[in-house]
Amino acid sequence: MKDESYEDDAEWFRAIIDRHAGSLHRYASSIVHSGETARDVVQETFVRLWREPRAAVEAHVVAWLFRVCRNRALDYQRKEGRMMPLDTTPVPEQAVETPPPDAATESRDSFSRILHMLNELPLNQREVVRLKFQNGLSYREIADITELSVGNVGMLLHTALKTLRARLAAAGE
Amino acid sequence: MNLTPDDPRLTAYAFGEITDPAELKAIEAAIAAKPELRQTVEAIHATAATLEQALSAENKAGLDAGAEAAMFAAATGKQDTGVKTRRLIRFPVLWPLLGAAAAVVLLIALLIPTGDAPRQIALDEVPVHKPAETHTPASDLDPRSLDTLFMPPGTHRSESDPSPSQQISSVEFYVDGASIGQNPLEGDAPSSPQTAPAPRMHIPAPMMAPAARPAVVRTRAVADSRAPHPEAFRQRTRPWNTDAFDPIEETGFRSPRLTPLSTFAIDVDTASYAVVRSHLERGVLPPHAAVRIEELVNYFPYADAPPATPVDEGGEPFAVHIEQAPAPWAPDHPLLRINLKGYEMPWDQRPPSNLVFLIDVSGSMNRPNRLPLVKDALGLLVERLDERDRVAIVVYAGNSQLTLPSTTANNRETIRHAIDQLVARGSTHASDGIQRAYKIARQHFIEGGNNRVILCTDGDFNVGITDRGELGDFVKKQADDGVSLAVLGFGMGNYKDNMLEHLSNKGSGVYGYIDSQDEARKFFLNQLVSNLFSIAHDVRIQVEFNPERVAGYRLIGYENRLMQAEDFHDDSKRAGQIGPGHTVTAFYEIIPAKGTVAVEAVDPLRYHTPAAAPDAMADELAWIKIRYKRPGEHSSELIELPVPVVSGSDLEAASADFRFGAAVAAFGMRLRESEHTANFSWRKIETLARSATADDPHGYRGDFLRLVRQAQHIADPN
Repeated sequence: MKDESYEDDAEWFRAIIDRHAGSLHRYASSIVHSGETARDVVQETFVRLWREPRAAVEAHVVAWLFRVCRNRALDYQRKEGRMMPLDTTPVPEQAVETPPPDAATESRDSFSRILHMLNELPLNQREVVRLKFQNGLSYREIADITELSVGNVGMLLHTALKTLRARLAAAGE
Repeated sequence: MNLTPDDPRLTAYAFGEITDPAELKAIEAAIAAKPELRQTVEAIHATAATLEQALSAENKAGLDAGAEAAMFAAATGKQDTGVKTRRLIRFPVLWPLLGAAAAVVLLIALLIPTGDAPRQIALDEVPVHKPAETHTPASDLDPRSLDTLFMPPGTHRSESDPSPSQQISSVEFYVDGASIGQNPLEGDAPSSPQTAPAPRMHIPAPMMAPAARPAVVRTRAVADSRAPHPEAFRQRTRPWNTDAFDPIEETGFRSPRLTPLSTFAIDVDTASYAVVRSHLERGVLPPHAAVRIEELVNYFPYADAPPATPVDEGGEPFAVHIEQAPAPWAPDHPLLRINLKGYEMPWDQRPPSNLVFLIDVSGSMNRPNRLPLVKDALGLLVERLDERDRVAIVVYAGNSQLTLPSTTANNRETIRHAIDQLVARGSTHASDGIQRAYKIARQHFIEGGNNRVILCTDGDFNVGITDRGELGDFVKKQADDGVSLAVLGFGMGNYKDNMLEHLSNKGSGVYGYIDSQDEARKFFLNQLVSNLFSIAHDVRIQVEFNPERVAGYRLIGYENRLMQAEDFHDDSKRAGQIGPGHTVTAFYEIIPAKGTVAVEAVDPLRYHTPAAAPDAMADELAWIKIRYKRPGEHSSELIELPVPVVSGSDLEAASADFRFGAAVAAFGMRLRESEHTANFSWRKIETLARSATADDPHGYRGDFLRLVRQAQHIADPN
């Protein structure tokens, strides 16, 4: 779909950066585990995007961006040797002065918990979970990005959710 | 269509991914016919919703505002003019809020572009960060642990990694048309542009140099030998294991010529068994990190004899037993079982107790298997205590509150009433729960008695000292001064499991996980005395293997209990504690010297020619030394004994306890996908254990057989 608001390619491009740089950086960080490297990855992704004819990528630009980003990130990861994967679970803050309402505290506790469990899943499951639930991509888009079949993607998500459900139950949710 | 709840098509359906109309119709019909399918779909949605919320709360602003402009410029070669048609709404009302409370960290930013796909950050989604929360490994036991290889020189090494300055979402704030910068709360301090990952230093124990290893630390991380950028280092974390099915780096076989001494602290904790059980009962294998083999083996009572001579007649507090037989999974490797059995203490001869319960009553405890179970467990305990004992209850949920002042335990009604009143409520302010608990314990200190703080939590506890290293040091000091700690986990899986275990070790107390009424009864009735009292503390074992008889040895389990060889003599180092009637078992797998396997293949040493052992020791396999402190003492006593070479032993002839313990160890190894048990099937484990379940008064061994079957069913469903 052509984005009608942007006649000028440069403006379109700038808007794409605005919309997706943050998500891409977060996604790249989950692979390379370094904020600086992730930034490089994202920059290179956008450099490549600029070189593509807009019409060719516009219709599926999000999947395109994630695929290129993923490939760059994996290149970096391979180059820098097999680093131990990080537990990138951010730890929620406990408000000091202003007590948060009960539900918010409790949900932050369970956020950390589920994110921790997520990081214990095998890498291939973790990846599709992030793409689906953090970036809102469809099975088809995830298949394009990861170069797996749609069936594989479905199976990975299914298994991941099943494990998370069971672990949450075991943790007394 | 024959759909089971475990069909991936249900998941696809739940996410609207089924597009073929015929298939869609068939699935909908199947769901309408079977209520359990509908429940499964609902459960899938619920988990997905939580995942989405949790993931969107993850920091999305690892890039500072300048980054986007830089990227635009780098790609296009043009000057950035900002995003077209993006309007920032100003919130003048924010300013007083921000100005008033420097510590408020909830930020609101609402951006409304005229294009599509607004980047909205709703109030409850804005990520907030607190200083690094660390899993504290037992790295204090090993000053040469891996982190020092990677720390930039001069960096202070502590168990809790220094956190970066508080990271706040990089968003522009506007007041009355003028930008007040990105971080109005921080003043001049720049916000760190790095991404969210809170840095942690978590060194998996096997990667630490185990006792007296002179060679270069042989670990994965050493392969990454270039010095990392200090910033990158602070962000780097080393979790124990993130990929659930990668094998853990177990302690491999050691050669006595290179590493003659094996040193470790004993461990009577049982939490890992309960955690493993709770996963298996839910139909999933536990993560490797949750499986501590020594805790599985030590969960079970064994029939080893207590010491013959009573303690007040000069006897030792525990007896040491040794047994050898072929390892079930490797018949040409002898398996050495070392067992400590504490003296039994009849309940009515117990020393008086001064107990302070520190109970987590934050909102997350409000589940049937948490606070209500705590209350049941406490009720069981209170029945057993009497007028010689004292009980106090401190609750915390952010702030702490003394809900029961220290009361003699014969006032059962009063205590029961206080227990009944415990209610899970929200969290409020930072607190001093743990300091308060210990203060009360000190106020009512009983000389020569059992003074103990018992922490009951679901893992998410903020007891006032938030720095993990500081907390560990605090409880250690308290334990050295006579008030020890016990830690009880309720319903938390293994989320903070390592942390709680570590804390219980520092505090010289037991760590248990109570996941059911049965477990509560086991802990507070059947094994109450062992769990509440301590007959020896800082107990550690050092084994020296005879290189003439042993080509290689491997300690099974105890990975996070390993100690430096020289710490064996160091009475300031914290080790393990043992209660009355406790049995503690450690297994060593041995490669006899006749074996030709190359263990720790290292180039021949240049300067060290091993002297041959004198003939008199030719029949010794190993020499065991045990150091321990009696209650209240600060210097340790030594027990020494030889391990004879035994030939022609037979697994069938070994004691039932040996066979059962070996089966449990094999079970733990299989759960961790150890290469050692690759050919030792679940079925064989079950058969071996079954051969030793004759004597099973409480049914624990029967339950174990059930777990093995369950694990097999999950791991090999076909």
